[in-house]
Amino acid sequence: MDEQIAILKEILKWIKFAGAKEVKTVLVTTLDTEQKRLIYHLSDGDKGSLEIAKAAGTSDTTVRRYWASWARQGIVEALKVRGGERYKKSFELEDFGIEIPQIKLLVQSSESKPAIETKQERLNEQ
Amino acid sequence: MSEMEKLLNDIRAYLRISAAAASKMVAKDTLNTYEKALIYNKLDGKISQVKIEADTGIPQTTISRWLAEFVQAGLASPPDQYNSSHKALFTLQELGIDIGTLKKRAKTSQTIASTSQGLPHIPDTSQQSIIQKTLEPEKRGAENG
Repeated sequence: MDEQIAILKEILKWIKFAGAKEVKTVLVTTLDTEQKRLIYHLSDGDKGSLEIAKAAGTSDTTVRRYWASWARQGIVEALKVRGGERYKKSFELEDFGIEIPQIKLLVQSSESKPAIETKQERLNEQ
Repeated sequence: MSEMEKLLNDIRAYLRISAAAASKMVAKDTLNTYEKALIYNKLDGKISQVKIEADTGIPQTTISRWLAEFVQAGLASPPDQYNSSHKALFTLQELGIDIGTLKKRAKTSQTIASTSQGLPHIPDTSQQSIIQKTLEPEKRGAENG
């Protein structure tokens, strides 16, 4: 078993090397706002959509909509949990040099409205 | 999740994105009409051609030909021991295809064929396809104009 894991690690290393450019392109194109990057970063499969939405200063509907879209894009994987489905990021943003927004900056005005949602983003969602 | 499962998941995630990136060009050429993309989007490995025909109104002979094209292009897998029917290997989103921007085929082409070009109406599907391909530049021109 240890030998198989070692071989898989070796395979993964080379696949990461070969595919890093494509993956980064998809991540940068898809996660084109700070809010999306934060939601993606927080999607670890343990946190629910409500918790992530609160941290990112948006609604859980938005989080679930992003999850569904990202699943079609192949950058998150679905996990069955009691009462529904959660999503787990397939990639770590840090591995691709993509900056992760600070949560504390985003939750300041989360009770009233999304903290970093720009006018353009609101238009895009409509 | 075991360490081995995690490694396999990571390998799959990287391979899938790399493969999708490599398939974008052929996907653009193959899934070049609304109807083709619509059918590709339905290929979950379970749906039958009869059901696709019922859902879309596209003749089964045409569907069968398109499925063979999808497999040939490396965009779908044929039925096997795990899937009773054809299965799309990617989502349209992974392939960068926006189904809303694709042109519809068949009926529009027939109309153009019989009105703009003065050609006789040909109901046979294979001939429709030939006409559709032949008239594609005129169709684009008409739609743009």
